Amino acid sequence: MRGLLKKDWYVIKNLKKILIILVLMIVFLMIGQQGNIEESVSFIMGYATIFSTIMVINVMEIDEKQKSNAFLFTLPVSRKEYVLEKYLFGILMGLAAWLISALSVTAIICIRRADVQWIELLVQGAAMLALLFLMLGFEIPVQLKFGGEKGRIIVIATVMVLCLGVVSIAKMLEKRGIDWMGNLEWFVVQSWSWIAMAAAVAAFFALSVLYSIHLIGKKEY
Amino acid sequence: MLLQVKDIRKQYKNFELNCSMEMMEGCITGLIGQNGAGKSTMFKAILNLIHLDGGEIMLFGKEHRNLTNRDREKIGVVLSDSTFPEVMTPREIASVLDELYEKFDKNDFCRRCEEKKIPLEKPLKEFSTGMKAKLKVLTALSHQSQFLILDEPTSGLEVVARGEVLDLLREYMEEQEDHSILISSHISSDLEGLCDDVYMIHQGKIILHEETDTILSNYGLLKVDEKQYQTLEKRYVLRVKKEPFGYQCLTNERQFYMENYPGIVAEKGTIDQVIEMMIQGEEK
Repeated sequence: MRGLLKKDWYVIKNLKKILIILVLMIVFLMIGQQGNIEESVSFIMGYATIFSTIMVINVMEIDEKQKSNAFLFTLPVSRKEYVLEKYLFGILMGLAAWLISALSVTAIICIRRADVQWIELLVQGAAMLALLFLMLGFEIPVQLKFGGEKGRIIVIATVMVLCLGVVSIAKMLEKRGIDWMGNLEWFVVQSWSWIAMAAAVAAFFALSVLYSIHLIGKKEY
Repeated sequence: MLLQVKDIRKQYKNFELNCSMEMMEGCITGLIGQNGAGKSTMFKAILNLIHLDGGEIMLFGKEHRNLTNRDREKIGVVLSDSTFPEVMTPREIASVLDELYEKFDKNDFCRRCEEKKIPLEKPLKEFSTGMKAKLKVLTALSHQSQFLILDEPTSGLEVVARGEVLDLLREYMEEQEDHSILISSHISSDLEGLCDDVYMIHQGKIILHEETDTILSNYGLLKVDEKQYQTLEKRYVLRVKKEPFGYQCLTNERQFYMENYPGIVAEKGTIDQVIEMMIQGEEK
């Protein structure tokens, strides 16, 4: 597993520059933001987390495009280990991006002595972690199933459709005079809601891992 | 028995692999055939990279699907069209192999790379075909494997680089008695000087299996005119091909014809000629 993690790190090491640009962008976004600081935090952490999961897809695409998969499976590496490593690599990358964005955000808030609701920020941070697991749980099997450029397009298109869907539903509810934000806030403050959400994310993630192992077992190289 | 491939079948849209082969420990076995004959498919089947429609493959006495990581450490592989991602450098590859193999010697690998003038800090995408081929073979040799499975390791190399790769393989065989190599190539001269026995594959089927020495000493091409052909003993004729001068016949008993038919031309066989006749000639 460590060998595969090292291999993936070497593959994305050329993206280190992009990582630096990402951090700089976070800093500039924070400095430049004028409105509600909590909203900016949500955007920045979400952006960094999603960006990190795309890196895992890039590595998988390179493995496939350059036919490295076939060679990797002749080494002491099972297909199951390959899949598990991709999830682990995604989690490590995501946590790193999450941590960098969280630290950057905290630093900027402290420097600007901004008046923020720390509890709200914590809630947003936790939601971004859930987003990380959901994204990985969705992206990895899609990439394994469809592969290459096709897989990436499906991932991006699905995320866009989901975002549009959520926004449309929210607008529709607003038009009908339903206070969805209020309901959501009520849901979020319930202690059981966190356990239920964590369990749902964990179940989705576990199913994704199992499905990916099934998919890679059927593949030919 | 090191490797036993028993009646394996793999059906594609325009191609079917259907063959058997066996390999003993301590041997170099060659798999020779034209491009598209099924060599790479055969290797992929042995390495469990494709799923079989039938038959079985036993490696180290186990079903090939059930090999553990420990078993895989005993195998060194070169695939014709696949290696580590091209953005990686040999030093990074060494670092990965060091994690994967218990017996990998990083210093020795780097030293051998330098000996073969392989730059350790350059990404593979900047390598020449020769450098890539040498690195692939050095990678396969780097972890004290017991069995090398090499698909076209000399493909695309000029004659000197080919010689260097073949020398590496000879050195490997001299290291230990139980070392074995299964190697494919469409360049028969590479295999003539290296292999103990060869399998010839054509359109997914094994059309000949013979010891290399036997091919080189006993096989031959008889060149006869129409009249000579009519009187020729055909017991030892494997294939016949019509030629402008009469017939060309492939035999596995050249000596017999030299002794009994002094008037006919009986040339020594090469692997190239044998495979050409086996493919193009007709059964008598």
